[in-house]
Amino acid sequence: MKIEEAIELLDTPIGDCDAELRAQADRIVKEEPVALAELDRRHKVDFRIRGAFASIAVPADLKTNCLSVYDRLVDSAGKTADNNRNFLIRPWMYAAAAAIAIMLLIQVTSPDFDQDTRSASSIVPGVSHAGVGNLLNDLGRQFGSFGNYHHQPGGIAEAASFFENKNAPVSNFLTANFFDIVPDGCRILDIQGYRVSMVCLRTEPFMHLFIVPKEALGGEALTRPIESEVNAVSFLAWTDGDQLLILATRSGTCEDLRRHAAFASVQ
Amino acid sequence: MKRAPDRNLFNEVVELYYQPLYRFALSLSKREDQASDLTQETFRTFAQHGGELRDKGKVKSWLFTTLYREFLRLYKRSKRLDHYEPAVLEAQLGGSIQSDARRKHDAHLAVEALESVDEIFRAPLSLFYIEDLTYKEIADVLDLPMGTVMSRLSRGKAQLRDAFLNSAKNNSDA
Repeated sequence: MKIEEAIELLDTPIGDCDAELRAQADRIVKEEPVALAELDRRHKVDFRIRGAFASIAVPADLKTNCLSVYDRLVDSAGKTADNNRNFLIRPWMYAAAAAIAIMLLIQVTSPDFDQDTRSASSIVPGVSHAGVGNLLNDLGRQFGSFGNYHHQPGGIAEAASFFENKNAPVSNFLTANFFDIVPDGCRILDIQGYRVSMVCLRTEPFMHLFIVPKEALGGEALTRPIESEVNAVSFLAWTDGDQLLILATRSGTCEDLRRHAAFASVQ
Repeated sequence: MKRAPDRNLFNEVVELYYQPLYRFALSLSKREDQASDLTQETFRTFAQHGGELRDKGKVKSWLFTTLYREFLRLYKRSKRLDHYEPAVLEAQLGGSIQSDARRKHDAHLAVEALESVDEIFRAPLSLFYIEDLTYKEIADVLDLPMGTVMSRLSRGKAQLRDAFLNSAKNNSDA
């Protein structure tokens, strides 16, 4: 073993090196004052660097915030459980939701599912569809410049409460189907004069869910989900009760959105 | 919460690792707010899935791995520019360490020296110097072969030592 090799070997973290080799390297270095000095120099610098890293100030509230993560999750899980219980108490709501879910699933997977990648408004005839097309065009155009989040909740239940408190639209689709997703953030938008709730979901791919009052479509329900792509953003839109729900992603495809919507709806 | 660790274990793990995780996150993201978010996100994941860990001795590696993967995910996503204002992005991608991170002289030296090292060496160096992880643990966290980690650390340590001493010298000269 050469002196340089011995130095390098002794410079490695303890535990990753064969004990016999380490002993051999130790003997070589001890016999060479220059090697010993070099190793000593390295260890002294390492000691200073470790100390320097250890002196990086940590925010005073970080520990409390980290500890509170556990409480927030417990709280969020409790609220979701409550929501689910309430849901079961009202069987007609359950039946209605199931019917919508089945309808959505059938429509989403059916061959005549609306699909076009040119522009939304050009492929959706009729007043209500044109309304969706205009909305999607607006959202696609503004995508990436909605501004900073108004709120970064610790869970979906907190996101729903935020929208509720701000008199912004909120949907059971969000709370019931993405309950285990931690949202990236929420923002309330003004789109065509309507308050629109936007929640960004840390799903794979990263998705935005827009909750729009159905008044934006003149109160009409869509007869089938609409899939489109505007400005490189994929959209899936459908009506649910009094709301128009729009899932969007820039990093994924319409197929990803269908998968999430279909998966979510049959839960 | 089915797979959550019990409350005492969670608190113990936070107590032990919130500081080194934050420092590792800061060395990666170069932003205090993102470092805090990454640290909290790591503990959120641990609160959800930490109960699945059969070998409690692997908690440390698991936490650093989780944080590193979350950083890579956020970094890739931030490159898509999908929801940030340009000013925020500019600060995020091109900004330097925020002034608050430089409160302490030695901390500043360490961060400055790390920034001057080739990028591929930074993550293994951070893990080595911040938490004294072994080569095997670093290889697990970064999902790299151990030989690659050894080679990167060997070259990276030489670069970092030189950079650190130069920074220290320049600062004392100034």
